[in-house]
Amino acid sequence: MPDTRYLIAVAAVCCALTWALRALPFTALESLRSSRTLQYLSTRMPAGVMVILSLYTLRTLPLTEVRVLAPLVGLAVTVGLHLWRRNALLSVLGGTAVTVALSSTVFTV
Amino acid sequence: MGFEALDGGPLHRVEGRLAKLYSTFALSDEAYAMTTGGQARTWSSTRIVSFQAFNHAYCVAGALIGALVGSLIPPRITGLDFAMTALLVVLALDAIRDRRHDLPTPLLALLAALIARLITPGQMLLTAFGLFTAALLVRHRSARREPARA
Repeated sequence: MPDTRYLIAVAAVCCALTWALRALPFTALESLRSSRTLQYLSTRMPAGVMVILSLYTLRTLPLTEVRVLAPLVGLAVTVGLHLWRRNALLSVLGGTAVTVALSSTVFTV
Repeated sequence: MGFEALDGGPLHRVEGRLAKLYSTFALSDEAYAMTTGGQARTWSSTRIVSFQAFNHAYCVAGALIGALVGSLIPPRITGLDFAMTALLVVLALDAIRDRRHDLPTPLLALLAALIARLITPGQMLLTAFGLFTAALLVRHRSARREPARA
């Protein structure tokens, strides 16, 4: 376990970098707000970014093994619940519960 | 995340130097997703910043509780990390439904993610966002040319 001062220094560096990275695009793009191209991108980015992030979390799925069924069934439950009830909390909890239940009981390695 | 800047996100609606400073720091993926959605576009500066503060506190508290009680979860309980996937899938479905007439956008994103996974497995996010942005730019250019031809 690294000492406390080292850990605080790591956290401080992360804070500074996080802020700088989040601030940088604003200073660079402030003048481009009226750009039609950026407006085009801004309306289409959210849906695409969420799709990409979703797939990113699934990048390590063991596609050739049977236990892949746990997250896949969970995914179907999440999507199904959300299309049906449109309740984010219900969809997330339902999908996760099914995945945990399946991967902890039926599809254990 | 950096893409937040492309639509100004919540930041240009936040008033006050300190508030902007904090709002930039606390601009997590979740804060971005929540403040750029349909209804949230009318949120006031105070509401955006207090939402971010709540989100920040929630995140710190969650990490703390997770670190303290996570070890109590028996190792045979697996699959909890799917909660992250479920959350992002839900946000994706909502974002797609906000623009239901525009299916090519999520399809391009899907394609970008799959290609990125295949060609640069270690840098999937960077490649996927790059490909997706490039695809949108190409689409934008051809869409602008179309009316001129007609």
